[in-house]
Formats: sequence, C-alpha cells, structure tokens
Amino acid sequence: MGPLGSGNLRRLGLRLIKLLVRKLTYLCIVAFSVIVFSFIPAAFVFTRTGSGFTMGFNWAKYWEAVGKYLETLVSGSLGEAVRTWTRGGRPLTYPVADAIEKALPRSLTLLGIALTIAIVAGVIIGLNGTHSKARWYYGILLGGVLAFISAPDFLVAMLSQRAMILLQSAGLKVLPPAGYGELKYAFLPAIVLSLVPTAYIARVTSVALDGILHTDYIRTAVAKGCSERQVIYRHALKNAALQIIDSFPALASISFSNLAIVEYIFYVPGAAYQLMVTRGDAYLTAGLALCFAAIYFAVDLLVNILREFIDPRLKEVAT
Amino acid sequence: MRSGSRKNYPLFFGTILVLSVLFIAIYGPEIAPRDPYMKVSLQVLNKVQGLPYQAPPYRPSADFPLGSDDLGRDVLSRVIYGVRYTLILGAAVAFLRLILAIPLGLVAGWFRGWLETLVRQLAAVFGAVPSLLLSFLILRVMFVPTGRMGPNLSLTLENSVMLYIGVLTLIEWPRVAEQIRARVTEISGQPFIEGAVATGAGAGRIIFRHILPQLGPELVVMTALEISRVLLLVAQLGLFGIYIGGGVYEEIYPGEWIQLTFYPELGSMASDVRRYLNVAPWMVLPPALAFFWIIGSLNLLAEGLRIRLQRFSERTTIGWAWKSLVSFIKTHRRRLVLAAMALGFLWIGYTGLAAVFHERAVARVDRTKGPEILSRLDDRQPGAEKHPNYARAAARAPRYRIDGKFDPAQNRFSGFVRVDLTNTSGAGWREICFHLYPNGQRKDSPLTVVRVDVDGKEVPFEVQGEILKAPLAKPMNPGETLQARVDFEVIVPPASERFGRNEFAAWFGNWYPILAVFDDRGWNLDPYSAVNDAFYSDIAFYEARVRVPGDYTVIATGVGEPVTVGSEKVFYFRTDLVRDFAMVVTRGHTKKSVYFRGKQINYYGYGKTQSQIFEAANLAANSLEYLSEAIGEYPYKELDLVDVDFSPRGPSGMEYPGIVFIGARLHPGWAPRVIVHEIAHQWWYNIVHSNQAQEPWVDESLTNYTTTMYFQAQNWSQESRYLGYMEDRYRSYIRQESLKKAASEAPLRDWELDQVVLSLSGRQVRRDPAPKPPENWPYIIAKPVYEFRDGREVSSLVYTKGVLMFEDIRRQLVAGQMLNFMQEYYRRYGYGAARGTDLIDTMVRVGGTKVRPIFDRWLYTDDTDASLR
Repeated sequence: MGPLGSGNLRRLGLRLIKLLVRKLTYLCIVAFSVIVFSFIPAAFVFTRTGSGFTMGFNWAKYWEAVGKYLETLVSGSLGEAVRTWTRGGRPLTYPVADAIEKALPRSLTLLGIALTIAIVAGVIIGLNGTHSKARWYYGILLGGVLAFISAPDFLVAMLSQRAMILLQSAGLKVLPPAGYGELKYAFLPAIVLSLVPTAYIARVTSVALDGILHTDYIRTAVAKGCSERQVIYRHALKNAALQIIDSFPALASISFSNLAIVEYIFYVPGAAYQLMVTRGDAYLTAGLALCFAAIYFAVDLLVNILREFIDPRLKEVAT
Repeated sequence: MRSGSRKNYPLFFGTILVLSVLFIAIYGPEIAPRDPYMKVSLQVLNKVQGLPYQAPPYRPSADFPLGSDDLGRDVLSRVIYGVRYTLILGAAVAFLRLILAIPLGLVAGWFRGWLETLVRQLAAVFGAVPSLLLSFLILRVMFVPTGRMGPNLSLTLENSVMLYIGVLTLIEWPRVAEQIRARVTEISGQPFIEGAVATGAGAGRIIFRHILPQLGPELVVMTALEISRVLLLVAQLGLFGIYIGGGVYEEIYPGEWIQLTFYPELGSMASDVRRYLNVAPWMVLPPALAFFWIIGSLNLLAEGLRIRLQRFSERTTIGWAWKSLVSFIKTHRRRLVLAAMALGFLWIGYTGLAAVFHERAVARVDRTKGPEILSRLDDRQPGAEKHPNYARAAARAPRYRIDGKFDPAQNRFSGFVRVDLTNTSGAGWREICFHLYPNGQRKDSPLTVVRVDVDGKEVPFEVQGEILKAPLAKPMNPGETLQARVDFEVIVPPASERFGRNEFAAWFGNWYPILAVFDDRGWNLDPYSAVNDAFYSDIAFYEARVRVPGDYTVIATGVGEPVTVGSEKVFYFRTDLVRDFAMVVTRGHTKKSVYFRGKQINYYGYGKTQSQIFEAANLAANSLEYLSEAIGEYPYKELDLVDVDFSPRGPSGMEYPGIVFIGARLHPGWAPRVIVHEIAHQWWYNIVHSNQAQEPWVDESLTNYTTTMYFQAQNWSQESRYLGYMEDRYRSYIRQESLKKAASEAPLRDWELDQVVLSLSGRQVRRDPAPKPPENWPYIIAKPVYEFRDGREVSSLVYTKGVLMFEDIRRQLVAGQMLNFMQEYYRRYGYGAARGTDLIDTMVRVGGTKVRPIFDRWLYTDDTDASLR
C-alpha cells in the first residue's frame, strides 16, 4: 500500500487535528499573556506628592480593562485606539483593525521578500560550505555567519542607509534610503532584514549536513559509488531540509524583532513600527501583538504540517 | 571529517577578543581619556571659522578622539565605560537565567513527566512572541512617558536596574531551561547512564555525578552565547529608548522634554541612533561597533569551544578543568566549607577591625595634627582688622565648629555644628533658634536634627518646618554665653539649586543649622524663598573639619588644608569673620589660580576649556582688585569661584563668603557679569550685611550697581552699554505687565498671551513710550522678597530698576561722591547689618538732602515714568 492509503490518511488526519488543537491551545495561552502584558501600563496610577509622583498599581482597574478588552474580542472586533484627545477631553478614535489592515501588508511584503532571499541564499551558501573542501571558504562562511549573527541589526541597517545617502548625494540613485511607497522602497529594508535569516539558515544547513554526512546511510551511499553531488542532493538534503524547516518558527521570532528595527530605521510604517512607536494605547498594542502571535503560530503550524509530509520516518511509522 | 590536527581558529581569536573585552571592562576607567559624565557645553573654535563658539555634538578632534555626544560628553570615554557596565548587565541577566534554568532543566530532563511538559509549554509560550517585543511591552511602562505625566515617571536607579534585569531574565529563561532539558534527556538515553541506573544509583547521584559533568562544559558555551544574546537585546531595546536610567528627562523648554542618556551604558547610547545617525554619525557608530565587538567575540569563543568539545569530548581543556575542579571539591568538601567559613569570619573581622582602626587613626590625627593645622591656617588679609568695627564684631561674634563626614555613595553629610555664642542683645533669651534652610528648599526635608546639646547637656528640641527651636532651661541674660551643639544629618538633594549635586560634585550652600539673628524684631525666622535669596545671619568665626573619600577635594569658605588618613581625606578649614560657611565636595573640577597682591583667586571649572577657565579667573582677580581699591580692602586671602549646575530657571550664581557658585551652563556673554556681581557681594552681603528677606534691594540693587560701575570703569565696549540695556529691560517689563493686565480682563489662553508679549517685546517696545501701569500693580522695589511673584519680577525691579535708581542718584552727585558713599557705607556698617534707612542716611550725609526724594521716588512709588534724566 502506498504512503497515502486510506488507513494512513485517517491516521494522518487524526495527527493533524491533534496538532491543530495543540497549537490553538498555545495560541490562546500566548494571546492571553500578550493581552495581560499590554494592559499593564493602563493600570498604573500616579499621585502627585510634593515635588514628584508616587507610583501605584490599581488591580481592579487592571482586570476591568483586561475584561473589557476580552469582551471586545469576543464580540469580533479589535476595539478602537485613541488617536488624540479633543480639548474637551473627548477621545478621537479609529478602529485598530483598520490600522492593522494598513500596516500589516507592508510588513508582510518586507518579510516575504526577506525570507525568500534568506532561504535561497542561505541554503546555497550552507551547502557549498559543507561540500567545499577549501578551508578558506569554510573560514569565510563561518566568519560571515558569525558576523551577521553578532552585529546589532541596527548597525547593518544604519550603515546601509548611510551608504545609500552617500551614493545619492554622489548622484547615484540606487535604492531609496528610507520611506515607503512603491516596491523599490521595500528592497533595501528587505535585504537588510534578510541578512540574519540568511546567516541563520546557512548555519543550520551547514551544521545539519555536517551531522548527516557522518551517518551510516551516507557512508553506505558513498560505498555504493554515488557521486558527492548525488549524496548531498539525493540523500542528505532531504534530511537536512527537515532541520531547516524546523528552524522556521525560531527564525520568524527573530525576524519579528529585526522587522521592528528595520522598520524603525528605514521609516517603514508597518506593523512592527506601529507597535514600537505607539507609546500609550493598549488596544493598538494588544491588537498588533496578537497579530504577530497569530502569524508566528501560522508559521509554526505550517512547518509542523510540512513535516508530516516530508519526514520519511513519520511515513515509516504510518505504513 | 575534520581532523583533530586542524587549527581551531575561532577558539584562538575568540579567546583573544574576549580577553580584550575583559581588559577594557576591567581597566577601562584608567584608559578613558576623559570623564564620561563631563559635559562641555561650548567649545571655543578658531575665530577664522566664523563663529567663535560651537555647541555640541562636536566632531572628532584632538580634544574628543571620537567626537562628543549631544551634551558635550566624550564618546570614546563613554564607550570605554559602557563596555564595563553593559557587560556586567549582560552577565548578570545571563547568570540569573542559568541559575533559574539549570535546576529545572536537570530535574525535568531526568524525571520527565509533567515537569517536562511544563518546561516545554513555558518555552513554547515565551518563544512565540519575540523577546524584543515582549520585553518592550512590559518595560515601556516604566521608561516611556505617557501623556501629561511623562517626565515624572522616572524610577530610581535601583528600581529601574532591578526591573530591567528582572524582565530580561524572566522572558527568556524558559527557553534556556528547555535547552538544558533537551540535552539532559539526550544524555540520559546514553549507555553510561543506563549503566549507572543498573548499578542502582539514585537520581541525585546520577544527576550530580554523571549528567552534570557531561553537561558542564556545554554550560560554559551556553553562558557565552546567553551573554551575547542578552547584549543583542539590550542594544535593540536601547534603540527604542528603553535603557537603564532611561526615565530621566530634562525640560529644555517649557513643555518640551527630552530623554537624557545619563549613564555611560552602551544600550543608552544606542538610543541616539535614529536621531543622530545622519547628523552626527560619530555619536552612534562607536557604541554600535562596541556591541558588535563584544557580541562577536563571545560568539566566536562559543563557536570555538563548541568545535573543541565536538572534537575531543573527553579531553577538552575545559572538560578536564571542570572534572578536576569537581573532584577536588568532592574530596575536600568538608575542609572547603570550614575554610570558607573561616575566611568569611576573618573578612568580617578584618573589615570591622579596619573600620575601628580607621576611626581611631582619624581621631588620632584630629588630636595631634588638627589643632596645629587650625592654628596655622589664617585667612585674614593683613590690615583687615584695621576696619573700625572689626574688634567689636570679633568680640561678640559666635564661634562655629562644623564637623562631619560626607559619604558620596549615600550623598549624606552627618556630623554636628557647635556654636559658642554670647547674648549680645538687650533682651533675655528663653530659647535659641536655628534656620534649617535645606528643609525650606526641599519639601522632603533632607536635613534631620538628631540631637541638641546646650552646655554639654542634651535638651529637648522642636523642629517647626525649617526652624529649629531649643528652649533653654533658664533664661539667658544679656552678656551671658553658652555652647550649643546640634547633631544633624543631611542628604544632598539631586537638585540644580544652591544646595545640590551632580554626578561628580556636591555643593553645600545654606546647608547646616545656622543660628537665626536676634534683633529688635526678636528672632528673625524668615523662611527660605525660592524667588530670591532670603538669608540673614550674624557674622561669625568658623572652624570646620570635613571628612571625604580620598579621591574628593573640598573647596570651602576660608582657607583649608587636607590630611590623608588611609582611604580618607580630612580637610581642616578656618575662616575669618564671615556670614556663612559654604563648600563644594568634588572630584571633577579643573582648577586655575591667579595670585595677586597677597590674594589667591581660584577658579574651579568644568565643562569649559582651560583658556576659558583661565579667562574667568583673570576677570575675577581683576574685579576683586578694582573693588578693593574702590570700596575697601577685600578682607580675606583667598577667593574661590566654583562652577556648579544651576538649572536655567534657578539662580545664575550664588554668593557665599570667600566662595562663589557660578552656574556652569551660563551663556559665555553673560558669565562675566555674574562673576563680577557675585564678587561685589563680598562687600554688600558679607561685610555689610542686610536682611535679605525683608529688604532684598539693600544688597542686591547696590551689588548690581557696583557691577555696572566696574564694567564702566573698565570701559568694556559692550558692557558699558549695560545701563541702556537696563533701561530698556525695565520698560519692556512694564509694557509686558500692563499688557498682561489688559489681557487678564479679556481672557486669552496662556500661550496666546505669550505670543502677544513675545511679538511686542524687542525693538518696538523701545520706540514706544512706556504705557501707564494699571492700578494695584505696584512696581515698587522696597518690599519683602515674599511679595515678589516670580524671579522675573525680582530681576526687573530689584536688579534693574534698582540700578537705574543708583545711576539717577549718581547723576545728581559730584564726581567721586558715589565712591565716597560706598566707602563711608562700608566703614560705618562693615561687620554689621545695615537697613535701607541706614543706606539712605549715608547717602544723604555724602550727597546732601537732595537725594532723599530720589530714593523715595524710585523705591516706594510705582512711578513708571521714572527714567534717567
């Protein structure tokens, strides 16, 4: 019977449902903790005492705010964020969902371009790093990967922005140094954003292949007389792919942090930018943070489902 | 695949780089070229470049190798200090994470079950939201101003450090625990563990003897990676304005607050990135590169160690070192514990004994050298006692002894003030009163009276706000003497005021319990006034002994001499007859001295270039000499001028006898006036005193006029036009006030009003005749300081209109009579206190009765047509 026979299909479906339930539970826990954190600022009470202020925490107010937000969520909306206050003290609001709808596509564009670059470049660099016998190449690879992992993201971002400004002042308009508009504005931030994931994937690939190339079945393949190319692309890569895919959720988490920095420095009004620059409004903060958590779990779920189809060991168990 | 003979370059370079980081972290403060806190607010340039002065941030130059930041602090020094602080921060967080994670990871990895699930779930939950976003969500509360409350949200430093470290630890430790758990699970599946289980070893034994030694070397790698991870997060948070001490804001303009980067910490320096990237790249590149260097070297070391571990899992140096350490500890467990206890006791005993010995050494020095030093110190200018009032004043003057210790770590001065006093009044005293001015300056009562003794016996005392009253057991009759002693503690407030401090200095003005003046009004208990000065005291002799840590210097009224005892310096001071005793404890000032006809003028500056300080010292010497010639000899040998932080809305300078505080951030065009003004106060506040609270004009108007007189005598091109400026300023004040009055009837919003006033001040005002002032808005000078609404009113009336008054009188007099008046006034009322009527009477004696109506017109009427004729 083939790998996707009816019994297998049922078992696979069962596993997928279990997976979905587990991930949704996680999502709920994370969502709740994000909301809990987002509403901390609103509950601090400051009272004037003489020359300064004393700080207190109003638990009743805090839980009331959290409860109110949860109610809003249940009623199917993300609530309203305050844009500004009128002179009479009345808040002027706008729907959080609108803000997210505007900002999120920009962030996703950046992330999409960046991750595509990262996966392609990372895997290629990683593969070459392993099977190339040249020590200098390995050294450069290791050095480069370490450098990109170690550099604070804003260092790279600001250097590249500065470079673009200098080029532009020299009359060479390569890429716009900041702002957001047409697609060309997205390239510089996306390239900067892709550097860390590229380094990361290259490293994971290289380490994974390193480990796999020591295993018995590879030795068998070599003994059979397979060429190096065949060994790597036929036998090793499939197993390495698993580890690469496994690293995606962690990568997503890292990329979100970097996204905030890249958007901040390149003035891209995306979701992460909104989140970091919004200084007070709990509804907007919570909405955006929930959004990121949801994306993270979507990636996580996708990776887990992909695993089901790729991992040969899972198939063996199934048959 | 890679053979063992291959060189492990990452380990080699990583070790070297990490050692270089550690070297800077340990020896940085000695390498750093400048003080990382020191602000240079203006830099003198070559005049060729156009502007004579330049404001920070400065480009890299010889003075600032990597340039300066926006407050004029050296970037190189800040980065060098920052490496230390940031590394400590990162290490603290990493160690805390590991301390939390290791036990949980070990237990969960070995016992599995629900603990394992818990660790995995925690890691999954905390891993789902990026750590930057999560820590930002929590920390922004503390550091980012929200709405109108903004600037006052700042936590104390200790609180913000605890919070920062706590949050960074908590958000990522589950991930570390999960890492360790996974590894433990992996190890426990290996044959040697199965073997251990088969021999019947218990869980504790397996964990400690078999798993931990296997895990140990990996933990070293993990620590290095963890520190680098934390540092990366610190850098990212810094970029978004979240860093230690990030709650400190300064109001640069009413309503406009900027976040200050106070501590030399790399994270806080990263906060400047976006604002200054394209304005002053030298400000933001060094901290970013420093982060790169530290994180990179840690990662390289970790990578090298990992390779080494993989290669010889048993024979690694670290593995070997770890194992031998563990076995050593195990074999000598009991002895080690005993030795540690013994060392602990020894240490406690040693520090205790050292403190005792130190105190005894200080006491011995005080016994042996103290009296000798004090008798040698003499601040009297030869000939000062020739003043007709000197002998009488010296006979009745109280004698103060101030004694205590200043602890810069706590910003606390604790000690006592002892005063021998004689009842020189005509009335009997039932109590004696002291002013506690610090408690008037600050609401939080920084000064605490511990105990009061009268003639060696403890007496009950009463503190009413800023007044200390000690009732006497039996009334003190005229002519009787007694000795009072007040033990007190005072915390130097973090203020830019007369009594305040900054990072490297504390300045003590009006800071100790000082005897109130008893005259025919009874005890003068006028409170501290935020608007102008309101200090009134008897002239007295002072002796002081101040103990400070060895790296500090004390600058004070009178002349002093330090003795070093161990890690401490003991300063002895003695003064001639003075009104007050002020001092500055510092480790950050630069001194320039000028010697001039037996006088020593010291300028202690900071945030200035050497030539600026020298110029200021020369100006001080010149004006001191001029005023000595014009009025009467400066009675002391030494005069100190000290730069202190005064807030832009506070005083610009503050006079004390023999020591003068100058605002360090004054505009360079304005500073000369302040310097000469405060020096003129040595005559019209110190020698000839007056009740500053009740009649502020008596000393301030005369002092400001004397200042003007000096500049006119020097024929300073700009300064001699000062009188015209005074006239304009007074008129524009009247104009603005009447506009405000008019506006108050047709209400405008405050900012609109300011717009009106702004647009009307300046040239337009000069051309227009001054409008008649509205009723009930008196522009009279002669009123108590508490009647003035704000500093602007004082400066427009007492400091400006008062000068015009004296100038008006001078024009009615014959040449030279003004100087005659000053000399006469100084001779008659020197070493005593004068009243406004005394001043007017003296002027009448010199200039005739025609001056009296002029005084009346300027002082007691709000005749705004009053102008120079």
